[in-house]
Amino acid sequence: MTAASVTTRASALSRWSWLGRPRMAGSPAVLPAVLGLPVLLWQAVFFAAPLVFLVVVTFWQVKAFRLEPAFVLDNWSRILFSATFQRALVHTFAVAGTTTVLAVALAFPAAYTIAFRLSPRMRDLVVAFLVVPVFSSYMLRIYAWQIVLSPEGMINALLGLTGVGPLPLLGGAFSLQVGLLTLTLPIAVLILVFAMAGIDRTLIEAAENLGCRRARVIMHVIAPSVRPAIMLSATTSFLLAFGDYVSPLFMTGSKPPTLSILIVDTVKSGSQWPRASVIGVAMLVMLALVLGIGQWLSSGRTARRGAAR
Amino acid sequence: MPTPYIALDKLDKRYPDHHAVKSIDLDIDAGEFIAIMGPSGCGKSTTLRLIAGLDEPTGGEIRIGGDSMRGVPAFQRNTPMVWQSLALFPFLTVAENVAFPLRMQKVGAAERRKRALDWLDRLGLAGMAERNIAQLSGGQRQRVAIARALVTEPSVLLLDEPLSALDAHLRVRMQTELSRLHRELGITFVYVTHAQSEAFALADRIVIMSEGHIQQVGRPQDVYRAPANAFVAEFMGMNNLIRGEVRGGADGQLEIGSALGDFRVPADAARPEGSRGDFVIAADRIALAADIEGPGIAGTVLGLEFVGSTQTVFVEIEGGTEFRVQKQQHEIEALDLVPGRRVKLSWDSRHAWLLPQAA
Repeated sequence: MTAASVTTRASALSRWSWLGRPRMAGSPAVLPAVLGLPVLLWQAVFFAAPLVFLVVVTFWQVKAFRLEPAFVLDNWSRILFSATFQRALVHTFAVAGTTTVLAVALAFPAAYTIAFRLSPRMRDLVVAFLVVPVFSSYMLRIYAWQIVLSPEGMINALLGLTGVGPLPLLGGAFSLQVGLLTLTLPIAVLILVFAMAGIDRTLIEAAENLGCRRARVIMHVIAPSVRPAIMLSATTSFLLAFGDYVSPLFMTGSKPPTLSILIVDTVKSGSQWPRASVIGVAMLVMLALVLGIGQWLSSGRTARRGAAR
Repeated sequence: MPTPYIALDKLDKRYPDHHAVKSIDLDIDAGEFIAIMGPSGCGKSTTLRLIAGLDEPTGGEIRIGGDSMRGVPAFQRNTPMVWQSLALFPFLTVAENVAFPLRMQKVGAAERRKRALDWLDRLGLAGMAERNIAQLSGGQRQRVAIARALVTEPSVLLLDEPLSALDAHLRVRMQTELSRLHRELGITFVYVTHAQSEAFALADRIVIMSEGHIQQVGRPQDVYRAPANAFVAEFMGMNNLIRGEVRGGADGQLEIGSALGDFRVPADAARPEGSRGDFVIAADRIALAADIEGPGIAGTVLGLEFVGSTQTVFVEIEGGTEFRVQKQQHEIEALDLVPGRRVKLSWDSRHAWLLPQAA
């Protein structure tokens, strides 16, 4: 801790030292800026500029299917007060929220098993199996689910043998969650596995030594230790599910529409780029809010108190 | 003889790749401060983990307060441990850390807070209750770990090299603190360390372990003055071991012949001529003389090393044997002991300790 506080003091010093000394390339004050420049440029060109343009477009007009620069608030009022948008917003929030809860609830026990119950060899194997889907085509995996879940699909074929069904597995809230979890669950599990693998095993032994039975260790030591990772996997799941277009389109046939479906619909119907941009900006604002809340929650009670001191 | 509070009975621990503890027997009395010492990998920490129930023995038995611990999981033993790494919970405040064992015992929130604050107060941490662990110094963290282990008022405290992470100054202060706590609480302390100074300063009895075996158990001064075998003699550091064989003997003394010459050593019993007669002479029992012509073993000073108020003089004898001799500063100066100086070593034969014959 002393080492850490020394570094913060040192960095605080270097942060202000350029005021008094001549600036030199390679000096502690300038070097980070030089090294950070490429990233800064990249962000400016490919993130900040399009974002600014997106906001600007929300005030433009479409006349005769052509986009014209203007400054009207019409797009905002039309979208924000439309029942379609409001319904889609609530629906998207509900869907993404459900995915988040399901992803974390399923990922936590899975990650615990992988991190604490498997042999090191099995653990590496399982982690590899979790990494592969992250880098494989999401679209392909959704197509696979369609084959599994469709009325003529594998599950219904098996159910048919027992005389049950066919069940309408595809095209509802269930299949939508299956699709979204396909996207989010591997990532949520991986985040938690890596966090749990980093827990100091002595802490777990110390808890047991101090009267904590194995089952309670999960609640009293493991969960609080990986709290930031839980919040990270939750916010990541929410972000992915909230903005996803593929699962709502292919697993439910866009009914009811989510916000991303609504964006595409708005563009398609009369090239309403400005109104689509309004939805996009609204989504970004909400995601930023969710991220902020996640950050605040992940810092934890003790850390927040420490920072406030 | 009273029943021991902790009894290790043919305790054995075999890991897939090595045999850590080899069928050891040890009785620890109630209220005793016992230190288990030995080089790294001697099985001392494993023994402690077995007592705490963090590892399952592969043979033998542990009894605490007369009850067999076979099948009793760690969380039911109430054998709190102070860890070398301290193992404080970083996500809890100081007071919450100390109250953790009480929370596990389902003690009410108000009661456990009161008891945690009492213990913090007792260890000089009043006013630190709401801090984060990260905001404490090394010594303060150490105290939190001790408070957390003692808050349930256990009848035994296990300590696994608790002071090795502290700097020398703090270590001495914590030794005093531990000594005081042991006196006040009257409970059994089992203290694992590789630092001789800690064991000597604190323990009623010392257990010396090596390669999974107990080499000797005894009061610190006995282990120091009367080592049971060559390993203990060398582990204690300030002993000089001379290997020889019995040439004869009379009147409670044996004649020992060695590469360095013939010596007399006190002996309780006669030994047959030609049998092993290894003996040790403590570093502080050796006299040094600048007069090379006198009686004794001639040697050359190799170097000196400060150990507190005394210095250790390293003397090389012809043939390569190295002796350690402990001298006060003024004696060093009087003899002008600089490296390369020729000296004579001698000792009162009553101070030699003949190693017992291996059973």
